[in-house]
Formats: sequence, C-alpha cells, structure tokens
Amino acid sequence: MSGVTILEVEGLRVATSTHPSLELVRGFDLQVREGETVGLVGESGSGKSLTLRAICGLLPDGVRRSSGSAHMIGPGGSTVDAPTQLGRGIAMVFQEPMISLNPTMRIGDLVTIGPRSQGLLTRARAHERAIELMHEVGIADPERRSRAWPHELSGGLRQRVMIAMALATEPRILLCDEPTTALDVSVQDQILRLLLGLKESRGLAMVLVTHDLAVVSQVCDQIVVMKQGHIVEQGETDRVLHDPTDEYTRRLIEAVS
Amino acid sequence: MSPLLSVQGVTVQYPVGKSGRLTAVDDVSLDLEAGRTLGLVGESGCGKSSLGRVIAGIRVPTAGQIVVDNCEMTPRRSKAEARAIQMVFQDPASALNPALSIGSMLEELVHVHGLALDRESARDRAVAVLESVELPTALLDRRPDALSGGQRQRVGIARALILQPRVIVADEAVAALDSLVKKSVIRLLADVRDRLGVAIIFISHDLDVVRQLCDEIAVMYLGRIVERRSSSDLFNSPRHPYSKALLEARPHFGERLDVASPPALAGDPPSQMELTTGCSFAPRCRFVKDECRSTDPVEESFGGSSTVRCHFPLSR
Repeated sequence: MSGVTILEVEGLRVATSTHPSLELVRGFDLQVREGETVGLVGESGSGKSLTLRAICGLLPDGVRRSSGSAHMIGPGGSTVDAPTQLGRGIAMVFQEPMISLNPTMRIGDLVTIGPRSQGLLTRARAHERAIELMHEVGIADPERRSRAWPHELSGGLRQRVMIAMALATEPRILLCDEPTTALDVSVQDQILRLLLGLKESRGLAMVLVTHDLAVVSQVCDQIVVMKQGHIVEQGETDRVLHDPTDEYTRRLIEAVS
Repeated sequence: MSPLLSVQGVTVQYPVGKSGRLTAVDDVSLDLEAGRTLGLVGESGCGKSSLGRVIAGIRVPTAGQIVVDNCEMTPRRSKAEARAIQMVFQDPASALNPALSIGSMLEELVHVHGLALDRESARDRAVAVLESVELPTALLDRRPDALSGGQRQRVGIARALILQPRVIVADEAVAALDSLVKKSVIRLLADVRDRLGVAIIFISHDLDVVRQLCDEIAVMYLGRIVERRSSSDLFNSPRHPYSKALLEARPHFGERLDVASPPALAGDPPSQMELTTGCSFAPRCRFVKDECRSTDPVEESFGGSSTVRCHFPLSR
C-alpha cells in the first residue's frame, strides 16, 4: 500500500433538516489510502449507510450534513469537497441492482451512462467502451449481454453491470453499500473476488458498508464499527478482530465467529 | 416408531407461458421426528420455499402428501390440520396485520380456532404466549409498526405458537435481522423446540445460521434434495460436490479471500427453465465425469437418515 491518503473525512455529522439537534451521525473521522479497503460495519440504524451517502453527496431528502468535512485529495495535494466528486473520483455501488438500474435502458447503454452524461465519451466510442468494461467485470459474451434489458439478467450479473457502471467513471474510490447482501453466497463469493481483483488491477480504494462482519474480515484492511451514529472502534482488521477494545465490537464478533 | 412429519413424493409445478411448466420441487420425500430441527438450504430458486409452503399448507402440491402423526393432510386444510403445522415468515412487518394490536391479533386467532370460550381466557392465552417468546405483555396494546424487527419476529413466532402446532416451518425467519438479534431469535426457536417438542423445518440460505439451530440439514438443488446429513457431518465431510461448494462459498470469518483462486461455485444459481439431461448439477460441478452428463443419479441412503444423490459422492 502506497500510504497516500485520497479521502479524508473529519468530524462529519448528519442531522435531520427539521430538527438539527436530532443527529444521526455524530462525528465521523476516516482516512482512506490509495488501494485500501475499509469496512464500515454496524447494525441497522447505526448510521453507516448515511455516512457513506454523506461522503458522496447522496443524502436522502430531510437529512443533511450539519458539520464536518469530506475531502478527496488529489495527486498534488489539492483538496476538493467529496460530495461534488460523485461520477468523477468517487463511484457508488448499491445493494439492490434491480432497483438501481434503469429498466428502460439496455445494458450496453447503461454501463457508460456516467461518462456520456458528462460529455466525456462519444456515442461512437461508447459501445466499444461498454464491451471493454463488461469484459473487465467478468460478464461472459458481452456483445449479446449489451443488448439485454436489466430484468433479463440474474442478480449476480446485474451487480456486475452496476460495478461496470461505476468503473466507467474511472473512479479512485468505490463506495459500496451492502453490495452482496441481496445475493446468494455463491454469487457473493464471486462479487467479492471481483471487487478485490479490481482493487489490485486498478489500485482502487474501497469503502464497504455491510452488516456482515465475516465479509469484512475477508476483504478489508481497516474496520470501522458504528453504533448509534458513533464510531465505537476503528483500526487494522486483524487487530479489531482479534483484540477488540470495545464491548459492542466484541459482541458483534462473538455473534458470527 | 413413525415420524411426526412425513413429506411423501411432493412435486410443485408452476405454469409458465402458454403451455410450459416449471418444476420447482421434484418428487421430494422426507421424515422428521418430534423435537427435531431440519434445515433446508440451497440457492435462490432451489425450491426450498415452495417445499416449505406446501408443508405449511399455503400451497397445494401438484403431487404428493403431507402426513402428520399418521394423518394425511387434506389439500384444503381443516382448522385442526392448519393448527398442526404453522409457519413463521421472513418479513414479520408484512406478515402481521398493521391495523390490529398484537393482543387483538392473537385473540382473534384463538377465537377463530375456537380455543377459548370467552374474551378473558383468550387474553390469558395471548399473555402466556407473549411471555413464552420473552416479550413484555405491555406490547399487547401496540401495533406492529411500534415494534422493532426482533420484537416483530418474536410476535411472528408467538402467532404460530398460540395455535399449539406440532410442526413449525420457518422460512428465512432470521434473514432480515441484525446479527445480535438473529442470535437471540435462534436461541428462542431452539428453546421452543426443546420445551414443547415441536419439530422445526428451518429454511435458510445461510448455512452458519442453520448449523446453530439444526440437528440435520437437507441441501436442495433444482427442486431436489441432493444431500441430507447431520449438521456436524455435513460441515465436516460433505459428500455431494454441491454441498461442498456451498460450504466453501460462504464467507469464512477471519480468512482473507484469495483472489487468485477460482470461486467455490462458478456461474449463477440454476434455472429450471434450462434443464439438461443427466445430473442437474453437472454443468457447475468441479468433479464432473461423462456419466454425470448422461445419467441422472438416484438418491442413496447410508447410515440413519443420511442420503446423497450423486454418481461419485465424495468420501466421508
């Protein structure tokens, strides 16, 4: 790992717009280095998904970042506000690929929608690029699949399409919100291997939000444990798994190991 | 001794298009004793939920019978038959009537089934069953939306228990719960089994959860049981290549994933729409031989209730 920090989150707080004192994320700090995979775990309502969405500027209506910052750090040390970087340096992969893929678009058009909407890719070159990306994420027979509609693909293939869409924007960091939760274990295993492979081939950094500590233990370098909007534990994976300092972390580990 | 629950030659077919048929469950038979727990596992589309719904009487099978205590269940079950086998669903939020308080819902069940003579004794039963699932009786006056996910699932179990079933079919009953809540609900189901001698069919895609609760596991693939073993034997020495691959594919706590090695189970979960000749697992099997592609293996028994359906089962 090169050790260069590319994402820096400091004192991030998220509150509801109507009741600013009602905080859902209560102070979140994180540094993500190039090529690093960070696992963000916690139970329902711990604030892990909101944190991820606050970083990329996809907070739902009614909640907003109340204080703190999230910055992407460029090669020369320049910093930009992370929420403006979705579709540039940051890409997002969602849990439910059926809901997240536009059902009225063919796969080949969907894959390159990011760069095309930004005028970075011409229509002529788009198809070729879509095929390259589908190949990269392990979709067999990409020519034929590029003409398919989302509903014609299996859950695993749809998730591969979503990852290809994310890669199309040439991100430096991938934010994944429960990317394998809706999948069978066999397909989950395939998708995790794909994500780890991309981390190696592209040097991609990743923040993986999941409730599954076993998944995190398999793929992440760093673990952040959240509870009720707070970080209760944070550190290198091996240290957190084998020597947790927080009681709640210990119970989570006990529940799965 | 005859088993408490006997599933005999159950087949479930769904119509597809104008004249097509999809066989979700293909001639499945299994027995289960009182006080025992059988896990049904397999990927999406393997037929485990269809089989569970047939056992619970929610779906009428295309062929086959369900027998409880030597009594064959009628296709449209009588109230007494319905009480014998109860179901616990995955999503308690949509399985509970949002307009009824927990108490009204439980009391209504008692009345419909004629289990209490008056309001008071119905309420007593509701209180008792709520206590048996470790919920405060104050929840009787609440509606489902005021409950947490774990509390709702306990109500789902209470709803089944108040009818004093002999068999409970739990379909992904803990899949939607957080890990700590999941563990407590599994403990509750184990307690119900031990205390009341209920037999439980526990349907899940999560092998680790199944192992925590079940004495035995039946692995399903494309509508058939391909292996049935005691939980410990299945985990220690799976004999069907599919069982072995499923066990390997699940996330192993604390073990780094080796990207260089191939996935344990390649390809998508199978579809009944693309049936081939020979063994249905052959297209994805690591140990496939010529015979597998031409001839369908038959189920073989070995020791107790253990079975495997494979031409070349792995050694024990």
